[in-house]
Amino acid sequence: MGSYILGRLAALVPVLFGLSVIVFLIMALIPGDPATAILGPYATPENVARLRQDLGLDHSLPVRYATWLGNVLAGDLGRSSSLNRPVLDEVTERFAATLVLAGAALVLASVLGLLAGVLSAVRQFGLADKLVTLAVLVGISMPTFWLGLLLILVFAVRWRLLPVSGMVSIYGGGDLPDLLWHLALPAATLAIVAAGVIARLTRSAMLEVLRQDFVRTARAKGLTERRVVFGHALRAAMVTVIPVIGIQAGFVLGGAVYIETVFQWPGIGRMLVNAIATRDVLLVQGGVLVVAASYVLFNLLADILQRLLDPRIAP
Amino acid sequence: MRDGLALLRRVMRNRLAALGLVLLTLIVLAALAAPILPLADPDAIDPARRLLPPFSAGAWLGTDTLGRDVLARLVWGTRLSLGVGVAASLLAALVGSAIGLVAGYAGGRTDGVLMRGIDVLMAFPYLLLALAVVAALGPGLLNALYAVVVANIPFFARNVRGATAGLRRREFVDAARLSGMGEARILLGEVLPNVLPVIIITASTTVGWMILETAGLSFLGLGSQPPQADLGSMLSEGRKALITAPHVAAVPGLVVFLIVMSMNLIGDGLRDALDPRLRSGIPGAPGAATRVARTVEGDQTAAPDPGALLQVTGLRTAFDTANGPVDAVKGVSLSVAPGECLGIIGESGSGKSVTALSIARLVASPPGVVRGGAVRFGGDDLLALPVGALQRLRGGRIAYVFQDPLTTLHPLMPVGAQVAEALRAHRPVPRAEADRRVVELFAAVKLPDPVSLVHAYPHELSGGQRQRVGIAMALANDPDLIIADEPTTALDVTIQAEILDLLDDLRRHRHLAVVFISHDFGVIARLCDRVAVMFQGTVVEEGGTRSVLTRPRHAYTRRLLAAVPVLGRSRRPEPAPRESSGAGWAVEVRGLDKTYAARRSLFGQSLFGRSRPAVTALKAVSLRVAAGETLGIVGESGSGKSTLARSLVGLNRPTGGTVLLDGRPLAELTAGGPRALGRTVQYVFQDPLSSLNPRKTIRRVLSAPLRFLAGVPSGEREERLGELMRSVDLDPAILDRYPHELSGGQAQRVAIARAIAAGARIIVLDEAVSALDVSVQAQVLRLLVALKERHGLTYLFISHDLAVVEAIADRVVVMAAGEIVEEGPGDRLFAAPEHPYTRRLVAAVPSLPS
Repeated sequence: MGSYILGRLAALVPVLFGLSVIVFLIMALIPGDPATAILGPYATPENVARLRQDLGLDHSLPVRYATWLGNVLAGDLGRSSSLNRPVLDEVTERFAATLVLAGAALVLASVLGLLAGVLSAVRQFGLADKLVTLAVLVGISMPTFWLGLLLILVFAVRWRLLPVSGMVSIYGGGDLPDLLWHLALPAATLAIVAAGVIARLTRSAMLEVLRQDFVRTARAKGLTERRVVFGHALRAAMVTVIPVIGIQAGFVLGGAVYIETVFQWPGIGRMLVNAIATRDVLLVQGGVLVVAASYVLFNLLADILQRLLDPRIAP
Repeated sequence: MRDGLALLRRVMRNRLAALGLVLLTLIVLAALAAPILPLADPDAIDPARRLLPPFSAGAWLGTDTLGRDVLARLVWGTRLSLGVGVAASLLAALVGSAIGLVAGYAGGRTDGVLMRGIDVLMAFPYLLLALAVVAALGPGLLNALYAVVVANIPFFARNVRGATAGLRRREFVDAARLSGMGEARILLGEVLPNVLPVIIITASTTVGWMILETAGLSFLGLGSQPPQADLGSMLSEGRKALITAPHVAAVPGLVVFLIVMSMNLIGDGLRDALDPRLRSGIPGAPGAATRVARTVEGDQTAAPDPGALLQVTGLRTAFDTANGPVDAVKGVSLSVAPGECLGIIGESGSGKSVTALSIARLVASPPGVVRGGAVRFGGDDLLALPVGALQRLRGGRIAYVFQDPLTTLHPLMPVGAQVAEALRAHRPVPRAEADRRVVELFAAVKLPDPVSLVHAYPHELSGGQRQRVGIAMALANDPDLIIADEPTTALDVTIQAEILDLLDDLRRHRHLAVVFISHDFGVIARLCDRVAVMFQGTVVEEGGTRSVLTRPRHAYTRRLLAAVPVLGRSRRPEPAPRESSGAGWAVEVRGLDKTYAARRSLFGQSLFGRSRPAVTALKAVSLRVAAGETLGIVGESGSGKSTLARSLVGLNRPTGGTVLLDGRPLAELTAGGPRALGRTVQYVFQDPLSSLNPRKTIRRVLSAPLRFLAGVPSGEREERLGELMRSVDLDPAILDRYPHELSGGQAQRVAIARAIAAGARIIVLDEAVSALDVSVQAQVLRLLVALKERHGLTYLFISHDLAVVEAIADRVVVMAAGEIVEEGPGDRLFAAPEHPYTRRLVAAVPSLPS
């Protein structure tokens, strides 16, 4: 197991390297002079010159990349021009809020998706299967930015059950029940697509497994059907489902951009959209880098979990 | 084109997919017709008519915050969104598939570099990559399109690469190469048609997302910029008036939803139509027990036999198909006394396994259904038992041992836990006691080192060890009856002998009754007191094993017995003297070595576990085959016989030694392109279904060698195809069939026809008859002998089956652990083996009473 984790970590090095190159290129590819682009058309020439020097624009691309990477590794992501604070501080704060939202959505999606998928496989072609299939179809076709608006309209505006937007109440908020109250709608909206994908995949993986010889062996042993389905079939199906949950984590993180915009959630997605609009390049760079790197690490965890489940994967 | 129409018809048969297609067609038509539809100007601002509700006069869907007509904007916006989404899909499909095809087919370093690049793209959460691209290029609809393309390329590249890499190793690609086809032709003609469904399926699943994501980027203000409006930016504008006029936001969102849903519906329909496993109306997931619907009157009222442990009367098991139930077992009656062993023998499709599985109602259901008869066991009719009671019997008093223990054991559970589970399913046993009992059982089935094997996973055990675990599991609760369904078929002959001895031993010591299903008379003769011969769902003959085998009464049994090659009993004419001196050797192998290099993990093997040491597959193998001779090569799995066979035709590269074919070095033949080699030597693979391209008709399969190797002009090809088919006793009328429409025997004849088509004289037959039923096997063997006489062929006949080799080969070499251990004329070698390994091998072959 130790060797497996170390091997996987080693395999991450080229991926993280490539990732950092792409993130670095975001700035290098911007048409025109990045310093002017960052500071806007009304910047004084002195400020532009100073920023050009700070960014090292006089040097060649590889040198600039090396300097940039050195700073990043030292925890220096630069200063946000629009917010006038260190990028790292802003990014960590916002990313924490996104993690709460995306984490809740992923857990919700996994639980719902797994249950629905198993139910629908075991009752293939039955009523439950048809209902789940329909729900999955609606779920995976749903533009979440639209669904969010509809849900706000119904639950927050018409019925006044849940808050319209935000992460905590402005007055006297901030405790866990308040957070959950604010979390309910956005997390549910964000979860719907991922739940659909997970349910669909669980169903097909279960159907595949349920026809395999070892399931017949489990029945021949005299096990109860519940044990056959959950102890044997689902256990084997999880090997295909876990990587999909890992991939869905990426979709949930991406989808959070919409949800945060719709629900005014103070997360990193909304931050990125604003940063792109205000051409705050360093903030975009920092945000993308942190989210992508965490996603890579999350997938490493998914791989390790899968390896724990499946001893056949060679180290 | 015809294929396209057939596909469309299949998709339309799926009602939901048809609904999606109709919906999407309507939306696309409306979008295309936007310029000619009587719509208001979508950009005309009218402050006096702001936020009119739907169904207002002059504005069916109302107006937006600037008083613009929502319907007009919707149609034009849909046009834009659809156009961008479809363009993005086409671009992503083209670029991604090209990357995937090249990476998958080229393999090696090209593959490594390309896929690492794709890995980097995959390392970004989906939408984030699109955001990064937009951040670099700046907001705008075209940039949003590029962003979505970049984010979707990995899906195509990964899926297509996976499919291509899988196909590259398939035998039909090897066979195409031997038929003289060049690499580009193989990639486009053999691989691409098989990859196309993957591309279509990926496109159908991603096109919806791509439309959704471009709309989403516009919603975020990063896509289309005003005054240009797609559905996403309409939604974003409508959001400003969400509370007062929800329709402005609701309508464009609904259209996005409908477009994406209709595309998903069509995608599902396409996937179902393209996936051959779903094509024939796949049955539902199998339930806990076979359904019983005894509608056919049988003799279930027959008097119970008090002396029998198990009595099956008039059993009738069917499979539900689209055309009604098809009986697999048609009124079978059997009985087994306590402690008795009953053998059931038959060829594939005889219903023997279905009979065995019907006893404890383990036939997958649906589609299986028991339609009549009775199964009496200990006073109960198992077919009438509630599932709970049946589950107590299963693994309790009736236990099963199945064929291939690699697929029948749970791959992710330690074997000890699987056996312990069988114990605890029937009575509450404390964990420690269950563990102790498992070790006892492992010792009873003679597993080496039972204590440590408890924690092993199935893939860590050898085939024989796995089957011992399967038997231990069956013994867990001291059953009265064991039903063993081809338990030794997947094993090497020496391992088979050990397992049979074990089963025989156990049943005598524990007074077990056994029902033993097999296709092999020798195995049945070794173990069983009585035997029932099954043919087409019925028992045609039953009696004492010895008397059935020596004095068969039914014509089918007699035919079957006559077809079985028996070691030491093949009456071959003395081989004609070879004129090897003049003509030289057809095949000469000198000191052939093959070593698979060691695989070291990244951190070296001392620190971190499982690196693979170097494996020697062939060790200094030398042999000579005279022109017109048949050389048999026998050995068990891992002996190197297949490695040797593949080395002879350049399908794998030996690490040392030389191969001469007709006196010319193999290296010289392969250097001259695929033609020189293919005209000299050909190969027949074990499984014809994997050596024939599933998407090519027999005509196209056989045309390849005629065209590329023999250079037969297209005008004469038809005649040659007919001759070729007749020469392997096939009807030329089946030339336009696909491989899956042929029987196993027919498909193998096609493969043989392909091998002789271009006049190659040396044919390597790699387990070429091993997958066939004995009666078909006998016919194919006769065909091979006839072809050899007619065309003066030289055969290298590789097989694990000594009796078959003895029947066909002039001379035999025995291989073990990559070396030739003994060599000589077949009958003499098997009658008086000298090497200890050959002796063991010969002794292990189950024999028939004479």
